[in-house]
Parts: sequence; structure tokens; C-alpha cells
Amino acid sequence: MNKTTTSVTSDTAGPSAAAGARGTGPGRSRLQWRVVDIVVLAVLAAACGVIFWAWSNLVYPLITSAAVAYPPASGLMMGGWLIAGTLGGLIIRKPGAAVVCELLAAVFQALLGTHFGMLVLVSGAIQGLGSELIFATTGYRRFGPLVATAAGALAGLFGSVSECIIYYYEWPLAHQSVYVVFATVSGAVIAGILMWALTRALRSTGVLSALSSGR
Amino acid sequence: MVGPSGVGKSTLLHALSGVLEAGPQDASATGVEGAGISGPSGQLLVNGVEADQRRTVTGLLQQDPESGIVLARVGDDTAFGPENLAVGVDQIWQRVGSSLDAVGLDVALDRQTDALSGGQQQRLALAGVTAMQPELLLLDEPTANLDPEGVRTVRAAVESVVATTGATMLVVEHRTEVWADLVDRVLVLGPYGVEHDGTPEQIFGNPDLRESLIRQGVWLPGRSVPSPGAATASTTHGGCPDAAPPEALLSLRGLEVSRHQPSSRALAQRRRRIRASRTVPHHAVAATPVAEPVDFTVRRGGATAVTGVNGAGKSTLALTLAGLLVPAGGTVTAEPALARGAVTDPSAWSGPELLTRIGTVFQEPEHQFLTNTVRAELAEGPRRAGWEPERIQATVDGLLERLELTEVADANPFTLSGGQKRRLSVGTVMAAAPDVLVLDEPTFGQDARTWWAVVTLLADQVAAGRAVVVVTHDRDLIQALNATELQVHPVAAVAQADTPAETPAVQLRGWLAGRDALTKLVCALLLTIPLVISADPVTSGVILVGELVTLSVAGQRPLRLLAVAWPIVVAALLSGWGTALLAENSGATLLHAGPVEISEGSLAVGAAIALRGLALALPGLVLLLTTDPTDLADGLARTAKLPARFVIAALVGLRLMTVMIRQWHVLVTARRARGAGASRNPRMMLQELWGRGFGLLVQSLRRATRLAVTMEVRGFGSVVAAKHRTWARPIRRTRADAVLLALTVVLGLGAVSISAVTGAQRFIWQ
Repeated sequence: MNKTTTSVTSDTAGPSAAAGARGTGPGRSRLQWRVVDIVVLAVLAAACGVIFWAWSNLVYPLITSAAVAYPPASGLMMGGWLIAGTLGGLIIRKPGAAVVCELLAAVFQALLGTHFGMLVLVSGAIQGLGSELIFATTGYRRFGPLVATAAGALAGLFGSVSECIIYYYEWPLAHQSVYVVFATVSGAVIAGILMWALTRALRSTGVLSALSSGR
Repeated sequence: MVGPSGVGKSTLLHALSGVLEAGPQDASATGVEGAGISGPSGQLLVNGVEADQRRTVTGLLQQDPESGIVLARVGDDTAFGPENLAVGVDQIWQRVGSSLDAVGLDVALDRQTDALSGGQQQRLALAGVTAMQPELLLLDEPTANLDPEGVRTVRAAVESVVATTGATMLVVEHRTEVWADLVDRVLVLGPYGVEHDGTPEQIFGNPDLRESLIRQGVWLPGRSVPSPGAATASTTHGGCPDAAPPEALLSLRGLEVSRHQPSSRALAQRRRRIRASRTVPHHAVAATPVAEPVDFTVRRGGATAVTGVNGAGKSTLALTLAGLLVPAGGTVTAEPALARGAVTDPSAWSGPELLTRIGTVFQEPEHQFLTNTVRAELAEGPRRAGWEPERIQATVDGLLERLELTEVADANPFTLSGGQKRRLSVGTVMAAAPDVLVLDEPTFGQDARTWWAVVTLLADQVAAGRAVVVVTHDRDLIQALNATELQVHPVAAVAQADTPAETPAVQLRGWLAGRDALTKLVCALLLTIPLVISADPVTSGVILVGELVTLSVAGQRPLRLLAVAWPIVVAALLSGWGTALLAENSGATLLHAGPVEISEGSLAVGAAIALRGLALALPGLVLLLTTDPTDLADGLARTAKLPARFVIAALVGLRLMTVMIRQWHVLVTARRARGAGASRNPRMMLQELWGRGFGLLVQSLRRATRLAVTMEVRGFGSVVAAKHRTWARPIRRTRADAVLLALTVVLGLGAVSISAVTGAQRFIWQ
């Protein structure tokens, strides 16, 4: 991320037509962060923070009753907290977008009243990394339903495994496994295929026209 | 610069400010389909240099006031441009002061930018531009969304800025009368370039040209507005003055309106109670009236204009009489002619009951779109009202024709032009044939042609015997509809308390609030390390006690803090319970009910988890409550050397979150006006959550794109490398910050040592 920042900012002309032409090749400019990418990413993360908050309000009673009766069931709700990573990756299409978006969204959500202390930074980064890895393996070239589902699933897997290590270390392995499977499925559906559909719907409104995902 | 919509006036302004996106080059580079996008060609020189070289300092003001503001505090926002241009710190604050003076914005530097009115926000955006000392000032319909007071002050501010800076001003505007005496040259743009170029007298004085400009939707100075409504009104009731007044539809008696609405749960309960003819519980009545009580009767075939000063509660009154908000006092009663068998309180109506009786059009058409084609959008209301398919089809076809939307019938509503969206939003509520139409500022941001279309549509509704209620500042509209004025007077004490209700949480003062932001973040992170790796109750216990003692000594009240932050207490207890339930059982069994078994051993493990959760959450909470995000961002970018562009963008996202939460509440109300969101069926609730989330995202992404333009024009990350920008706010680290850091290290190490000495130590991997 540092690398791309310097390479763009040393270019005094800004993200103009010339910037693309002067870059070191078409691949470079495709993956370079422009101002509009950065600002949209941050605003997207904030919007996800607000949606998390509404999601928590809606599903909180469900989670509470599920968690009281059978704690691993709360894994089924996990996808709701993973949407920012896949959405950031699918909409911005730049290296690091998924990690940064999920991380920022986690911080923003923490500010709205769901407090997990400083560990939101860790959770956000780990979950975002799950999505990021999938996008990275395609070279940030493919953003179809399969890639999105895989990105959501891996975010769910990373997130739930890390939670088993950090929070649920006292649970027996069988319960931990159920939790991880639930979270991965939830990630694949809610943060994966649904976010792909959302991105497609957003594109048809024309609001993504300034971004590479809208062209 | 004038011309019809869509000839590229805004694009030209973006090109002049050097931030125009290069379509084709980018598209060919990425290899995606983009051949249809025509990019810029030819040459554009500013001061003899290509515009995209950005050699000339340029300022740009856009239409939406919210998109002209970057940071949360007035002073910081004004300083943003000079910082990006690497102006010296001592000069920045001088420039900030003189720019705010020039635009006549007399508020404290630490005033929250979200608490300003639209006109003030536009002047602040202008001050931010002025502080960069621009040679070229570009204005893109900067007053289109403002009330007359806002238009007057922004116009005066621009005049003053042009006089002090000597900048060249270029304004794109439909409402030419605002600027006519400030400009010395008028360009008329057409699809193939500049069509006319001359002095205002030459352009506006030429009769043929005037005629063609009027057809293109340009408001010309000194042109009177014809009045379709006055004519129809005189044929309906003006002709027979002795006749009894038309039928009453809605009666407002002693009505007091409020922006502080009960919770959605209380509102649902209220609806059930009223429908069952039972009394309304106290907690389901709105609090704190914003306006003086109102008595009024809305009658069939009448037009009513709700008027009053900014913040008087005009929109709140309109939404209350439309049944979308509940009153703080008095009553809104639907007369039998309107109620037609439903309960008499409109706020208790179901979606279908509401949309066949009262239709409400919000200021932002996009808030109310529910489907993805224009045709489906028009059919949605009748469909929800349960009409037969043939009738729906006929209604929709008729509306498409009347609204001149037939050509775009299958287009996505979000892709329409501003005028089309406005007509569609009026059409969608008209479709279900309600007797009362309520519209909030229906003529904001319209050019003369679309203004005319909206006014004709409304006049037709009045003539057809419906009641039309408009919230407006537009005297021409009031005159054209021959509307009765309903003046709203603000309650004296509330008038200035127009600040947004949602702030993230209470802010704490005291010793910790004075500490350096980055130091506090580092301390919170340091304390997290021993907690994360330790599984024993001693480490968490010692740290929790240490945290609580530090808070008390620092003058905070830890117990009150926990009461404010009850969700973390609940979350901690819940995770403790979960662990107690699942962990291996040992020792005596305490509870055994079916599959649930909790023993002494598992309870102790669960308690340790809950303790650890609290100790983990507390430092983050204190950091949040004692730190200004802008200060933290400064520390992260300057001391911790995180990429400045990302840190600043995050700050912008954080500021917009307050705006988004407010928008979320508006979305909920706006969608209820279309009959959505009342169902308690889980599938419908999820569908509604999707719809609202989608609406929020569309609006936020639009705003983000505009904001990116604002930030780029203000030199963000492009004129001077982000790492060389200056920072207007000093970072002060004192001995007290070192003390805080030392205390944290001692507490962390101490806790780990104590648990090792007592033999309790256990790590999460053990």
C-alpha cells in the first residue's frame, strides 16, 4: 500500500490521462490507487459501519437467543460483519481494498457502540485478509460470483478460526469446528454471493461509473 | 455559462480544475469494455499551461453543500486546502481567518461542520477554496439547493471573495438572475460547443435568443412566471364564491410537531393500540415540539404552501400531517371523506391504507425508489394497494405518457436525469390516486423547463379535486398554484438547537482527554497484548482493577462509564455464559437442565472469560470517549507515518457516518411513504433492510465521488506529494504523556508477573 501511495503522489499531475500514460505499463495504472478510489473506499467502509449497526439492531435478539441456547450457532450470523471486505474488493478492485475496507468498517462500527476494544483492529484485518487473498490470487482481474463467494467464505473461515484462538479457546474442538463451518457458510452466502449481487445492482444505477468496477 | 442539461457544463468545470477522469485511456489500459465512453480531446490551457498540470490554483464549488466539506471542524476544513498546498503553518491560520471573514461566516473554529445550515456550508466550502488563494473560481450551480436566505448570503460571499482575491469567476447556472449583475460575459453552450458569446445585455436582450434559452430551461432575469394554477383555480371554485367550502380531508387541531420521534418499537405498539381503539402509551408520543401549535384544515381541490424560516419545522409539520411522524401534541384527524372506513389517525394506517390516501414526495427522489425500472416503480403503489393487473397497466401507461417518461420506461430509476427523477417521484405517489399529495421542496434544483413540468403536474392535481400540500420557499410556485399559506413559527428555545441528535457517545473531559491521541492509542494497544495472550483470571483481574483505579485517579467515574457502555458489559457476560456452557465440566455440578450442564469448573472458566472481555474493551472505550478523531488521525499520519491519503480519507468517512445515520432515518420514513417497511414478517424485514442498505449505498457512493472531486480540487494528494503536505494543528506531547505510557507498561508487566508469582498463569495456547 505504501508503495502505491508514493508512486502516485510523486506524480504531480495527479490521476489524469497523462498519469496513466506515464506509468510503467498498463498493469501498473490498473492497480494504482487514485483519490476517488481512496475516498469511495472510506465512505463505503463508513456505510458498511452503519449497515452493521442496523444489522446488529435487527439480528441482535436472534443472536442473543441463539447464543444463549447454543453458542456456536452465532457463527451463522457472522457473514453480516464480513460484507465490507468483499464489497470493498468488488467495488474498488485495487490491492489492499478488501483488507482496508473491512478494517475501517470494523473501526467505524466500534465507534457506533458495539465495543470489542482494540481487538476490532485485529478481527477486521484478519477477516479482510481472507477476502483479500482470494482477490489477490486472481491478480485483481476476476470479480464474478465464484470469486465473491470464495472471498466471503475465506473471510468467514479466517475470522472464525481467529476467534476460536482469541476468544473461544475454552470450547471443545467439536464445538469450535461447528462454529467455523457455520461462519464459513454464512460468509460465503451473506458476504459472498449477496455482495456480488449488490455490486451488480449498484453498477446498474451508474454510481460506480468513476471506478474501474463501473466501467 | 448557460445551456441545456447534459451538454457537459459540469464536465468542463472539472476539466478546467484539472481533475477530469480520462475515460478511454484508462479503459484501454484495463482492457475492459469502455469504448463507448468518449474522453476529452483537444487542448485546454489555463494560464497558458495544460489544465491537468494544475499550475494555476483553482477553486470549485458544487451544488450539494454536503459535498463541499471535508473535515468535521470549521477551522480544520478551511485549512485543508492550504495544508495540501504545503503552505507554512503560521500562514495557514491567517488565511483561515481572513477567508472566513471574506465569506461572512462568523462561527467558532471548532464548530462542527454538520451543524451548519446549507447556506453556511456552501460559504464554508467557499472559504476553504478562498484560503488556497485561487486565481480561477469555478461555481457549479452553487445555490440550486438553498433557500432564498442561503442564495442571498452565498451570492454576497462570492462577490466579496472575487473582490478580495481578484480571481476569474466562471459560474454554471440555470437561475441567471442570481448572477446577472456580477458577470460581464455570458457563454451559451450547445451540443456542438459554444453557440453564443457576449455580454449579458447582448445575450439576455436578444428576443430570439431569449426564446431559445427559455426553451432550454434557463431562467432569465426579469421574466415573470406564468401561472397555470391561478387559471385552473379560478375555474374550479373562484367562479362560484357563494358555494360552501370544498370537502374537508384532514384537520389539524392544536398540532405540535417534533423531530424527536419514539423508537420504532414504540411506534409499532402505538399503531396497534390506535387500531384497537385503545389509549396511546406515554412513551409513544413524540418529545420536544419544534414549532408553535397549528390549526388548519386541508380541503379537496386546494393547494397549501407550508412556509417559514429555516429550522422552523416545515418539513416536520408536512410529514406529521402525512401520517409519517407522530405529533408531540394535538391531533391530525382524517375526515370521513379521506378515512373511508380506516381509523381517523393517519399515523396508524398500514402501508396500503396510507398510499391510497396520502402520498408524500421527499426532497430527494432517490430515497423513495423501490424497484429497478421506471415502469415497475410506477406500478408499485397500485400493486401494494391490491389493484387488478389491467387497471395497473392502464394507470402506468397513462402516467408514463403524461410524465414524458415513456422513452425511459425500462431504464433504472437511479440513472434518470434530475428532472426525470423528480417527475417520476411525483408520479409514483400519484399512481395509487391518493386524495392528498404532500411534497417537500418540489422545485429545488429544477431548471425552468422541469420547474414548469412539475408545477403543471401539481396544478392538474388540484384541478382534479385532490389536495396538494407543498413545503416551499419558492414564491413563484406559491403564486402559480394560487396556494393558501400555512406559516410555521418555531418554538423560540428550539430554533437554534438544530444540531444533529446522533453523536457517537458522550465525550469525557479530565486528565485523559488532555493527553496526546497517539499516545493513548499506543497505551490501549500495549494493554491488549498481555490480555490477548493470557487465559487466566489473575492477569485480566489485575489489569481491570488497574484500569478502573487509573480512571478514578484521572477524575473519570468508571462505574458510570460502564453504565453508558452497557452493550460491552452484556457482550462480556454473554461470552462468559457461552464458555461456561461449552467448556469441559469439572468439580460439582451447579446446574443441570436437559443438555445444559454447568459445573464449578466451567463457571470459573466462564467468569474468567467475562472478566477478560471487560478488561479488553475498557481501554478502547476510554480512547474513543476522550479523543478527537482529527487529532488521532494527525498522530497516525505524522508520527506513525501511516499513508496520509488513507488516514485523511478515513476521517472523511467518519464524518459522513453522522450524515449517513441521519439519512438512514429519512430513508426509513421515505420508504414508509411508499408503503414499505411496515411488515413484521422476517423475510419482508430482511428485504426492507436490503432496500434501505442499497439506498444508503447509492447515495453515499454518489456523495463520495463528488467529495473526491472537492478534495482533489483542494489539492488532496495530487498537487504536492501527500508526504510533503503541511499540518495546521500542532502535536503537543508532554511529560504527562510519558507518565501515561510508563503507567501502562508497569500495569501490563505487573499483571503478568503477579499471575506468574501466584502460579495462576496460563496462556491461551496452553
